Amino acid sequence: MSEEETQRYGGGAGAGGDGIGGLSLDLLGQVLDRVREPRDRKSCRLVSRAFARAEAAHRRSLRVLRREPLPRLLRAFPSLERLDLSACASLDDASLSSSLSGIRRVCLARATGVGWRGLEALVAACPRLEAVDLSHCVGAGDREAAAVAAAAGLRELSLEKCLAVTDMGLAKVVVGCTRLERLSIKWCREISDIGIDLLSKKCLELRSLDISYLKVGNESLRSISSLEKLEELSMVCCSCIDDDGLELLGKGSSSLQRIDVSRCDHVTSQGLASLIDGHNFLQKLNAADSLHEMGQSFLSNLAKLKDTLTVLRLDGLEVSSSVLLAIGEGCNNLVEISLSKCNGVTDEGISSLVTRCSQLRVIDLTCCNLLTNNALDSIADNCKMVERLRLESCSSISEKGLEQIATCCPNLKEIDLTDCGVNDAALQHLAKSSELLILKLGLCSSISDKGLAFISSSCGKLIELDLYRCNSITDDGLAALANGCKKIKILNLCYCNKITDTGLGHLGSLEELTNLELRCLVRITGIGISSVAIGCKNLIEIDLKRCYSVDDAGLWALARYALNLRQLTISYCQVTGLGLCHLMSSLRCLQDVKMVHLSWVSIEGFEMALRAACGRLKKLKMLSGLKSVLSPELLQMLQACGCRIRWVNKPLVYKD
Amino acid sequence: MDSSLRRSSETSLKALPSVARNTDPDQQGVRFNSMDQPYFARPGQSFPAFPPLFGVQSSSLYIPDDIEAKIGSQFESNPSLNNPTMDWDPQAMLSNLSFLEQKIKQVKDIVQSMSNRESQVAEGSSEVQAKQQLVTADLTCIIIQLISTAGSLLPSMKNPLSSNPALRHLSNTLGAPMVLGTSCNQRPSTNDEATIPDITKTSEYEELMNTLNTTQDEGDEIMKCQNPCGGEGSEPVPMEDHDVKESDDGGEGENLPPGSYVVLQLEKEEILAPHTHFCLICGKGFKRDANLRMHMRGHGDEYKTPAALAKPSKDSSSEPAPVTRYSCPYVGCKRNKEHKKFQPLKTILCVKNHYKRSHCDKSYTCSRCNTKKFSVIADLKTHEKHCGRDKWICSCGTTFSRKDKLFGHVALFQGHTPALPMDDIKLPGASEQPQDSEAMNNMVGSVGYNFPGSSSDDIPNLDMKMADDPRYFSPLSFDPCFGGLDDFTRPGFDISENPFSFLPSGSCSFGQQNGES
Repeated sequence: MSEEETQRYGGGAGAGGDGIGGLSLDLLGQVLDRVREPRDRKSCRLVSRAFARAEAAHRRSLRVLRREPLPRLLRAFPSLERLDLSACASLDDASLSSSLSGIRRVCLARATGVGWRGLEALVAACPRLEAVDLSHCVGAGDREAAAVAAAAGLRELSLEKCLAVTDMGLAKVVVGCTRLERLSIKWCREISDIGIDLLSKKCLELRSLDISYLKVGNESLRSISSLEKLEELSMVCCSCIDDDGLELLGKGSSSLQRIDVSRCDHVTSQGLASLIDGHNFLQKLNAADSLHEMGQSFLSNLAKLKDTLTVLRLDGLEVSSSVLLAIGEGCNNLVEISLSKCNGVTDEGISSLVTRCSQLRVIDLTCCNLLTNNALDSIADNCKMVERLRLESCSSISEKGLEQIATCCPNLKEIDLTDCGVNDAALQHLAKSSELLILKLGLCSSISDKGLAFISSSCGKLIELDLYRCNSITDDGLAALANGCKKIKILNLCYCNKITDTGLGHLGSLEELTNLELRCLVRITGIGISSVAIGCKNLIEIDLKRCYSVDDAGLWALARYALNLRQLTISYCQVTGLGLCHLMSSLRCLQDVKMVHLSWVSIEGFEMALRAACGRLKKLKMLSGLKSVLSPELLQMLQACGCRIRWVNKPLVYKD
Repeated sequence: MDSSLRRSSETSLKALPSVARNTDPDQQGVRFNSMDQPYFARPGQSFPAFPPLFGVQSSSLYIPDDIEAKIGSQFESNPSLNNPTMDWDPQAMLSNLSFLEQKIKQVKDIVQSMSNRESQVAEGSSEVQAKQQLVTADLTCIIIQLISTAGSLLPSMKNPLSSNPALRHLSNTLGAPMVLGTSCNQRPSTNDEATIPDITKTSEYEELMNTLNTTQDEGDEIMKCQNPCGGEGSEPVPMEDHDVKESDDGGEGENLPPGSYVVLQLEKEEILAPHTHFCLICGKGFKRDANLRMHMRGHGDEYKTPAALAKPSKDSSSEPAPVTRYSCPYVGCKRNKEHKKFQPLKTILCVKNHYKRSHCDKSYTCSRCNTKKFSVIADLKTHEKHCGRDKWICSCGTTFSRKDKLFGHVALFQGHTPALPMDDIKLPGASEQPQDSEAMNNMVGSVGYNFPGSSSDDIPNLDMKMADDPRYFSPLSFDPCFGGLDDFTRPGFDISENPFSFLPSGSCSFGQQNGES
C-alpha cells in the first residue's frame, strides 16, 4: 500500500495511521480477531484500507441481514466459514445457490422461505459443511431433511421445530450423516421410537441429542442407551417416558454428563436414582417440574455425584430444609442451583445449602416467597462468586439484604427483582455492583427517577433493563439512564405511562439499543418515535401496542430511519393504510409484524401493505375478519414465502 | 409365471433324470416322521415298488420340486441331513463348518487369481464376469450355509427337516431309497387321491418372515391335511408334536380341560353355506333367524313355547347353555377332534374362517395388486385397506408394508436409506439416484453381490416365487447345493441373481415387495 493511500485512509484515525500499512495482512487479521465488538471492527474497516483488506482475507464468520448483498459479501470474504442467515430477510432457495464453497457452518434458523431445493444446492456447494441449523423452519419436512442428509461430513444438525420431519426424514439424515455428533430433533413430534432406534444404530459418534417434546417412549431410551459417546441428552416434556426408561438408560454406557428430564411428568426420583446409579459422572441434572417428591434413594445417590455435579435444577419440587442440607452435603461443587417455585424453601434451608456450596455462581430462587433478608445474608456471606441471582416474587426481601449482596458479591452480573417491591434505597445499594449487566425491576412501582439515577451513575455496563410497570418513572429518569448506561440494548418501559416524547428524545442517545418495548405509553406520539428511530440505529424490535397517540408520523420515521427493524408491534395505533404501506415497503429487514385492531387502515391499505412486504414477512398477527376480505392469492403468496399468520378472533372495526 | 425359474428347472431336468417327480413329496413327508419311524426301519421290504425313482419323466406336476430335485441331486456329500430328527448334531455342524472353511478358501483363491491377473493384463471382460458370477454364487452359498448352520442351533429349529418335505423326500431318495420304497408300498393309492394344496399362503407369509418356526408348522399342517379320506380309526393319522401358532382362528390360549365342553363338528357343506344363524345344539345353519327358531322346535318341547319362538331378547335363555366348542371337519387338522393335540375352535365364525383359510382355495384376489389371494372376504378387505398405500420403500427398491420392517432393513444394510414419496413434479430418479447408486456400491463393496436394480423385470417374479412358497425359507432348503463344490457355472443356478431374497432373517420381509408391487 502506498503511503499516500495510507494517509488518506489510515491517517484519519489519528494515532497509528503510519504503522498500519506496514503490517502484514496476517498481523492485521490477528489484531482484528481481538476486536470483539462488531461496531469497532466496522470502524477499523472504515478508517483503514489495510484493515479492510485484512478483514476481507481473514473474516471467518458473517451474519447477513438482507438477501440482496449476499452474493457480493460472499465474494468479498473468500475465507468465510460460518454463515448466519437466521436474520436474513426474504431468503429463498435461489439465494442459497451462490458460491459458498468454503462454508462449514450455516445457520438457517427461522429461514421459512428455504425449501429442499435451496438446501440441496447449499449442500452440493459446500463440500466441507459441518453444521447446519434449521431450527424453527416450521415448514421443513422429510425432503428438507433428505437434502441435508447429502452432506456426509455433517457433525451438527438442528431440526428443532421442523414440524413436518418424520421418521423417514430422520432416517435419511442418520443414514446420510453417520458422523453426526450433535443432533436436535426437539419438537419434531412425528418422530417415533422406530426413528430413534435407527438413529442410535447409525450415528455412533453422537455426543449430544435433544429429543424434547417428542412422543417417544421407553423403547427410545433403550436404543439411546447403546450410544457409547453420548454426553448430553435433553428430553424435556417427554411424557411417555417414565422410570423404567431411565433405568434402561442407566444401564447403558456411562458416558452421560448432562441430562435434562424437566417436565417429564412420569419421571420420579426413583427413576433418577437408578439413572445416577449407572452414570456416575453427571455434571448437569435438570429435573425441573418433573419430580413431585424427593425420594431418599435419589438424595443418597446424588451424593455419588459429589465430585462432578455442577448444575442441579429442581424447580417445582417440595424441598424441605433437610433436603437442602442433604444436597449441600452431597454436592459440594455445585455452580448452579435452581429452586424456582419450590415449596418449603426457607432461610434455614438456603443457609445450610450455601454454607456447603461456596462455589455457587447461579442461584435461582424465583417464587420462593418464604425467603427473607437472612437468606440473602447467608448467600452473600458464603457465595462470593455469585453472578446471577433470581429473586422474582420474593416479596419479603428488602434493601438490607440487597446491600449485603451488593457489597459481598462483586461479580454480580444479573439480578432479577421483579415483583419484589424494592425501593430506591435498594437501588442505591445495588449501584455498588458495577459489573451488573442485567437488571430486572418489573412491577416495583415504588422505584422512582431517584433510584434510576443511582443505577445510571455507576452501572455503566448495563445491557438489559426491565422497568415494566414501574409507573413512577418519568422523563427525567430516562434522561439519567441515557446519560449513564450507554450500553443498554434491551429496554422495557411498558406501562410506565408518565413517559412522554421528551423521554423518548433522551433514549435517542442510546445507540446500542436493539429491543424497545413501549407498550401502552399513551402520551408518546410520532415525534417521540421519530427521535428514537433517528437515534437508535440498531433498533431491531419495537413494541408500540396501545400507544394510542402514535400516528403515521411515527411510522414514517421508522420507515425512514430504523432500517434494521425486524419486529414491529403496532396494534391499536392510530395509523392509516398509507403509513402502513410506506413502512412495509421501505423496511427491508422487517419480518414480524403484529397489527391487530388498526381500525384506521382500510382493507385496501392492508392489501397494499402486505403485497409490498410479501417476500420478507415470516410472521403476521392480524384480525381474523381480514381473512375473508383479503384477496386469496395474497394469502397464498404469503404462505408460499413461508409466512405464518396468526388470526386473532376479534371483531373487525372500521373507522373513516 | 416365472420364465427363468421354469427354464432353470427344465435344464436341470435334462441334466439329470430326475427323481420322483410324480411322487408327491408331501405324501412322503407325512409318513416320514417320528411316529412312523419303525416302519422305515424295515429294510428293503418293497424297494422295487417305487417306480417313480427310475420312471420316465411324466407330466411336470410340481415345478418347484424340480428345482429342489436338481439341488438335491448334489446332496450326497452331506449325509448328516438324512437324519430326520436332526436336533443338533455336532457331527453335522462340524462338517458344515469345515465345508464353510473350504468354501471360503476357494473364493479367496478365485479372487486372488482375479486380482493377480488384473494387475498384469486386462482380461477379456466376459471371463472376468464369469469369475465374478462364480464368486457371487460362492458367497451366496456361504451365507446360506452359515444361516442354516446357525439355524440348526436354535431351539425353534427342532426337527428342521420336516419343514421341507420335498427335500426330505429327495434326501431319502438319494441317501436311503429303500426307506422311501417302504412308505410308498404301504399306500400306493395316495398319489391318485392326493390333491396338491395351494400352499401359497400369503396371509401366513408375514408370520413366516418372523419365525421360521412358523413355516415349519405350516408345512406340517399341510402335510397332515393330505389325508382326505379321513377314515376315523381305520388308519392311524400321523400326528406330530409341534408348537402350533395359529393366529387366524380363535381358541388359542384357552385351556379347557378335555371333556368339560361339548364338541360340535359341522359338515363341510354347512360351513361353506352362506348361513349366519346356527343351531347351538346340532350346528345346522340357517339364513334367517326365524327359520332357526322353527328348527329349534325339533330339539324339544322347551323350544316350543311362545317365548322361545318370539324374537329373542338378551335374557331369554334362563339356564346356562353348555360350553360348546367346535371341531374342524378336516381330519388331520389340529382343529379336528381326532387330533392328538386337539385345539377346539371357540365359535362357529371361527370354524368358518378357519376352514376357509386353511382348507379352501383362495378365491378372492386383491384387485389392486392382483397378487394377494384370500379365502375369507374380510381378509381381502383388510388387505385392500393397506394395499398400495402405506408402502414403505427402501432406496434399493425393496418395499415393506410396515415402517418398522423398513427401518429394520435400513439398519441392517449399510448405505440403504428410506425412499421418500417424491412429488410428481420431480423426476423420481433425480434426487434418489445418487443414493441408489451409493447403496448399490456399498452393497457390492461389502458383500460382493451383483445386486440387481429394481428395474429388471424378471427378478421380482423370481422373488415372488420364492416368497409364495414357504418352504423356500426353510433354513435347510438350500443345503443340498453345497454338496457340489465345483458346480457353480451350472446354468440353472439362478439363485445368485438376487441372493438377498434368501435372507429373510426375521427382520426384513423381502417377499413383501413382490406381494405388493
